[in-house]
Amino acid sequence: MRQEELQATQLLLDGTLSVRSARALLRGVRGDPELTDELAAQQHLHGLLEAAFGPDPDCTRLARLVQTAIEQGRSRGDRPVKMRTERRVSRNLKTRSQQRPVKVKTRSHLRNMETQMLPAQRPAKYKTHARLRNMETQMLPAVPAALPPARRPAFLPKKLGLAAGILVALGAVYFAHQKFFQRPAPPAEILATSTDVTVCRGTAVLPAGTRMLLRAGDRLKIGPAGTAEIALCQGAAHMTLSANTAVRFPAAADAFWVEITRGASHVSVLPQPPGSKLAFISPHAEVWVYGTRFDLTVEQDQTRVSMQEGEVTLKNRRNGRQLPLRAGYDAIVGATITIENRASRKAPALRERPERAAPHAPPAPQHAQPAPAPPPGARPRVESFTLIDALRDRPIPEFDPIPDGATINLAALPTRSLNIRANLRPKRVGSVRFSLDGQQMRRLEEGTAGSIYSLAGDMHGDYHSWQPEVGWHVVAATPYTEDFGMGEAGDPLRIRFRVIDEADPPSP
Amino acid sequence: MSDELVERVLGGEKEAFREIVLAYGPAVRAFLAAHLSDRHMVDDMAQETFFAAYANLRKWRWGADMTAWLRGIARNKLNAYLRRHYTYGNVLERLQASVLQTVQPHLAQAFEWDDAETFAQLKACLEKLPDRLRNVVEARYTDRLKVMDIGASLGKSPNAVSSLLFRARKRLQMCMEGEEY
Repeated sequence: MRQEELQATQLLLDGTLSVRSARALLRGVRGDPELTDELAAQQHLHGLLEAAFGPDPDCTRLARLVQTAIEQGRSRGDRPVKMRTERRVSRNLKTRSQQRPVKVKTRSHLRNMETQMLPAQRPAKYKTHARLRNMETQMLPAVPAALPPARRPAFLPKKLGLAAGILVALGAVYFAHQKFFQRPAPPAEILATSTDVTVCRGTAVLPAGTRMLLRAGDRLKIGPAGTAEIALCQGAAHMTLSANTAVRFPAAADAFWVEITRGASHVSVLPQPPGSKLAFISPHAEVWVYGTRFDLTVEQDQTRVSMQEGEVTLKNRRNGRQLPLRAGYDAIVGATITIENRASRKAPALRERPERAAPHAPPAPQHAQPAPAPPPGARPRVESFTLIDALRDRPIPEFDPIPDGATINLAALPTRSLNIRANLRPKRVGSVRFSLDGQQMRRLEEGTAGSIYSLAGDMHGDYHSWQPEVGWHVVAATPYTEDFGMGEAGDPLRIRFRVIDEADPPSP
Repeated sequence: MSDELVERVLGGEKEAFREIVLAYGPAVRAFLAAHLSDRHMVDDMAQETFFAAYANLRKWRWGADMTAWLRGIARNKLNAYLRRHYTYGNVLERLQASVLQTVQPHLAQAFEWDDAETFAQLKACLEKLPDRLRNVVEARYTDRLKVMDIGASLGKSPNAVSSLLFRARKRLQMCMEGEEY
């Protein structure tokens, strides 16, 4: 083992590893089995030494914590309650001591201690602050010893009784407010809008504005000259609505669907937690999503869904039949569902067969094979760069790809929220390292969402926003066969482009 | 012994589980400490391991190796933790998770040889270490000093202290395997 690897091993065991050392160590253990064995042996001995000579070597404290938790879980179907460890307790105590430097023990505190001394008589409780405090004092024996004697001055009961009464009343008011009067979280928020956008709320028609919160039952109408961008589910989903589009939000506050009654929209949804459901509904189709990007266009007799990323479940509202739809495919939902491979634009790859399809049992689509992979062993390479509209997560057609020496006029672009995507062959590589004007970007792009590798990064296909400064720039990207910029480096690409910001650019 | 303890716990004597924790806690904590540098996280995960064991005690296969069973539970918890770190962590956390996931099979193999005598053997071997190596090991593991602080107290660079610790662990390993050094 070399000195550098030895040092990295010790830093790993100490938890003070740097990114550079970690990368070197990872490269070492992946390439050298002897180093892996050596590191494993060192970790093995480290673990034994930590357990044998560290705090609580005989595990009495661990046994006490586990036993106490099991005992407390007895009244709840034998499910043990996890105790707070020293770290959490010390963190709590630290925070509390910062907020309240000195605290006289109150009557409830003393009562807690009394009940703690009689565990057999203690009733089953939920994890209140007082209970947590009990657990902390139980784990830190020095604290009860330092408590003042349990004296109860004569004036305390009255005052405490009054305070308790006020607290109970306030709690009741708060509960009632939460339960009966508080409005639910808004279903959507308007992030950006133009002038020709209105919100229909009941019988009132309001002009839409930026940062306006939409309520349950609202309808959003985009006029012929308007566009709007809205966030749903506290930012977990974004919709970009084109002109002549109408959207309706459900009247029930806890509903999880949005209806696009007409027009076209681009939808981007972050991956949803397991079990959660979100649907975009048109008069013809329901699109159930779990984290995806797609375009939805409502026409007279049909709805077109164009998948860009992820997978959705498509449901025909006329006959209730469902089909999964993957990235790269378009679906037209009318009387039946027709799926097309967008890449090849060939005849329908899959057509719903109403007479055979069973309800709630979607058949597996026979998707066409993706683009042919390069021969094994071929070096990855960056073929081109594409300028991305980060607001709508779409390529800007004039700069797809960006030619070397191109002039990008910010004033002429649909947005100033930009990003640059590297187009690779093969589409999926280990990682890509970007540099701008000779400066290496801090993060390595590893393409966590499909095969998107971009200069400013993305979150599951939602591009991060970046605005270039006016002037000449050089962007370069190097692909690697493995993650973290490791493995074999592929063929890089480097282009120059000029950024201007002029309403009337000079003719070339 | 483990069968008897499990039988007592399943028979309603929940205090017997304390004996299980006392008997097998060090092995579980050693396994976790070999993977995790944060000892609070080791404590948390050891608790979770024993909770899971308690909740699943009815699935105990009579005559099985309790240490291996508990280590299996701990490994599952650890893998879930590493997956979380790899998915949601920053670059450093993901790199560390990658290193640990690469080393884990080798490490699991190393722990398979451990038994009830391992800790006694380790202590005996520590006594046999030369003073300068033993002092560094005690400063690191008993006094919980950082490499930097040990180096400052001994007048050595952190690199030199790392080398000493590496050699000490290497010698301990050889001693426990019955080799002369």
